[in-house]
Amino acid sequence: MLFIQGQPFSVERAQTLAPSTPYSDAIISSMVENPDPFLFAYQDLFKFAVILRSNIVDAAKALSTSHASFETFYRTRGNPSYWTISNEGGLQLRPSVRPSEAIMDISNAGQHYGFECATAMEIVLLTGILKTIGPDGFDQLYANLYLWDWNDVPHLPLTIEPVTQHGVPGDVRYFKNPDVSPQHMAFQGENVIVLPNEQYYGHGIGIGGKAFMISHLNQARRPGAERSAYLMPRATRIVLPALYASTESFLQLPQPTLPV
Amino acid sequence: MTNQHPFNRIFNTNGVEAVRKKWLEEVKRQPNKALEAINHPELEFPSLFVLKDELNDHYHALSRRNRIGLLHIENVLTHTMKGLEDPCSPLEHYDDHLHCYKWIVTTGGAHLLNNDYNTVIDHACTHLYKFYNEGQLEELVNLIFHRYRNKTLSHYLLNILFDCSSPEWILLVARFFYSSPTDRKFARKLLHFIPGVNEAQNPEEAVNTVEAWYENNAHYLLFTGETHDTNHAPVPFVVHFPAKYIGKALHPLTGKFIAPVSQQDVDRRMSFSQLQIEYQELLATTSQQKRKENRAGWQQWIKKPLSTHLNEHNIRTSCCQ
Repeated sequence: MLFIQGQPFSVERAQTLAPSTPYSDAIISSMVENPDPFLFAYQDLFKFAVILRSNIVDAAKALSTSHASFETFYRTRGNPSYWTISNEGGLQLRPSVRPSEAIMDISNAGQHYGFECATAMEIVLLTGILKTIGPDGFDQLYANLYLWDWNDVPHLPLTIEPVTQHGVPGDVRYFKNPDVSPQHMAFQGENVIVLPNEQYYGHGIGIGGKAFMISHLNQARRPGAERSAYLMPRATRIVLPALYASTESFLQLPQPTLPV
Repeated sequence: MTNQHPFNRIFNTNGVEAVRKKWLEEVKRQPNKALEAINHPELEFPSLFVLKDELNDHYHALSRRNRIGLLHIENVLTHTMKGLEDPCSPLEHYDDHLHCYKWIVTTGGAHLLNNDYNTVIDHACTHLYKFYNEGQLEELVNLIFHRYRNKTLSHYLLNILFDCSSPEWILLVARFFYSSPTDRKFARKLLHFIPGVNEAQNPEEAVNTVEAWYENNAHYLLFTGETHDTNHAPVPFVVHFPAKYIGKALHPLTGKFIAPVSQQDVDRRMSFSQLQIEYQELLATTSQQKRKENRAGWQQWIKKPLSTHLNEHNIRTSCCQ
């Protein structure tokens, strides 16, 4: 269910407000047809949401082909020109390096990188923000980037919301594998980005549907395991009003492509 | 820490290279005595870890504890899953491995040698707490705070803790509200899901908030499976309001009642579950308070229609009038 300024919106009506992107139709349909409510206080916030989610999907697809590998926090790797590795296995931006260049380097030169799936999610979300607000605004907001697990990244306000049936492209979700084998602890769960057409991107696993993700994780279970891996019924989402407020001055929202 | 043992003493005072040097000297001079020292029950895990390459030449002369320990190190660092070759009964196998993992964590947990070492400790914790389900949670909680203080990776240990479906660890974390400001900040972050913890003005108030919440909800908690892997603010347990309302304890992992439940309880639960969540929370809290104050009185109260309970709070809903 989609509500803008308190009014319910159909797919067609919402499409007249949002700029057209490769994924805008899928994002809008997913919100309108969702049993969970998606509320936007004003139209620009809705436009911002569609563009941002679209860019997050793009960022996930780019990371999936980047050759960045999965590594546990014990073995995090990064391009030393941009990042140092902390004792906790986090990627710390080097001083005097542009955050926008450092973030794009991960997708462009993935062979230099190896990190956990939670770090991958932060990278995808930040890349989506960078594509939405542009490098100048991004460099101002994220001057001292530290990418680790789901730690608090300044200006990346996150919230966790219940998911009754299905998420929306651009959501972060989690497949949990409660009976993982001690030999495969890296597969105790997988953070994923929701993509259009009921696909998911998981760092180290790739792109596939729900059954693909679950089957992949189930192969890493203990002998005699009785519980299957499963998709947890919550989604991590960016708190849009907060992010919009900090990025508004850098934004130039495209106009709708359909007549209002 | 047992400083009587020569290798422990040397490790603690002179470090890694001194232990290697001492071993090479001793094994050349008095090999039997050197092996006796390595196999001694008081040897602590860091020395075994430091000597892992040198000890491979003496593998068959090592105690079972040390052989299991070396295999554990190799399995973790090379991503293999080898087992001991010597025959023993399943029970002995279980006990020996359990003993070894406890030894690794108890004598080695406080040391932070390097990433490989921490990986080996974390995996020993995984075996002990997640698979054998035999670890002392207090030790795990202490280890997590030790790592946090030393700015060393605690992510995987936190996952083990948050994956414990039994909620006692909440109280063990709350003890750190009486510790240093750094520990208090971390305890507050871990227990953020308990209402009032973030607003507590002092350690005593924070501890009291946690204890009151635990006392009022422990039997009605549902394990969610959330950890620091799943999101930035994991909520490992949620209160099951219907169970709290009818006063029946739940199994946190399965969500099934472990207390005896009558047909009336089932009916009560069914109509209660139709309420909006905020009304459920309100009535569950009321029910629990009445039960605590006067159990006999509560037994009469809970038998009244749900609409009566709602009226007590001036709540009008269409489902229960």
